[in-house]
Amino acid sequence: MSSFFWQGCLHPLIVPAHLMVILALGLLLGQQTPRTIRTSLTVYVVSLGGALLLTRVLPRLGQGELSLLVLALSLGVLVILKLKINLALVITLSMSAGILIGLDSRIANLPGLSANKIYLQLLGTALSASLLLSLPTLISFYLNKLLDGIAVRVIGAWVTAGSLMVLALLLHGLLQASNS
Amino acid sequence: MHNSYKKLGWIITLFIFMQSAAWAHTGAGAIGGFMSGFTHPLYGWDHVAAMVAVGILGAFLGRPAIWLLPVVFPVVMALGGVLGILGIPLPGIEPGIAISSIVLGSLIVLAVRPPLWVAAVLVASFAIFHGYAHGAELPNAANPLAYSAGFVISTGLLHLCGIAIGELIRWPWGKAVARTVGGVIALTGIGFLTGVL
Repeated sequence: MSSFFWQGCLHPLIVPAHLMVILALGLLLGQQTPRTIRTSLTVYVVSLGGALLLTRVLPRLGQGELSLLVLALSLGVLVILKLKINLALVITLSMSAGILIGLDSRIANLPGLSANKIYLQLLGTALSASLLLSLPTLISFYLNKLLDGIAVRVIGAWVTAGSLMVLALLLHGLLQASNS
Repeated sequence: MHNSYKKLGWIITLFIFMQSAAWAHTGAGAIGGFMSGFTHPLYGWDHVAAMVAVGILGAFLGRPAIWLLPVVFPVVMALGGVLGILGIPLPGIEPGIAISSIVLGSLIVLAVRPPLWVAAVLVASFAIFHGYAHGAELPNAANPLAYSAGFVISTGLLHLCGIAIGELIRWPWGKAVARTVGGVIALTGIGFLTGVL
């Protein structure tokens, strides 16, 4: 049984789009006030948990990677700009991240696979994706006090660059598929 | 006989623990894609020279160039990558990359301190050529997102190497070292442009 939980824990680590969103959101949260960080983390965890449970009843999320990349790109740009963002926007972004990662972490419903094992795996994913977010948030929060947060903005630029290129590749593929 | 049953029992137990559910994402190709992207800029000496030069130049110019140039470069490089992915023709990619090493290296060796906007525009225009070359490779990658993450991180680390070299200018001997590296970068660019390297 424990292997199912462990596999759930590993899931966010093996999906680059999930990692990209978690990293970008963490960097952005680290640039905010402690109160905003606490509220946003709570919203993220609740949204993630809800979305993971919804994967049991909802159909597969179409263009999950595309949506995640758009979100990572937006978060990366906000990290670079380091603007004063209001609480509502940070909460909306955290909620979107939780929902998109959760819905994209669907487990195929194989015949004979008990519901307990699926829920255990989803629990692992929820726990791991939540802990993963707290790590870049903490690092970003402390790095922001160092050299005016230069390092955080540079990493934000890396996330933006990576997301933009793959987003272009995906959109190009979609356009080509629709034309043919 | 009893031992055989015992062994069989262990094997069955092992298989029970090894079974797993099927995920939509298996992670296959992610590590390979990341490593392939990470090593891509390192194999091209023309890329390495220019990336290091961006870092040194940023450190030479001080704040805010030290962070602005390493932020401008990957973002504009991504735009160049988009042009490469879309297959929009851009002439002189390889000469452009070589010229970037010559110009940036010369600025360092001659200790020229251009205004921030000039340095940013120069770095941004060269980034287009570097990004185009990477972007053209992206569609062939096993996992494009892991590939792009790998090469963007690798590029950033090369910038950091450049910043570390540039930070040596605090000491008189360090200034000489940084300018020498700038000279080597400019010569590398000339080598690539003339086809010697």
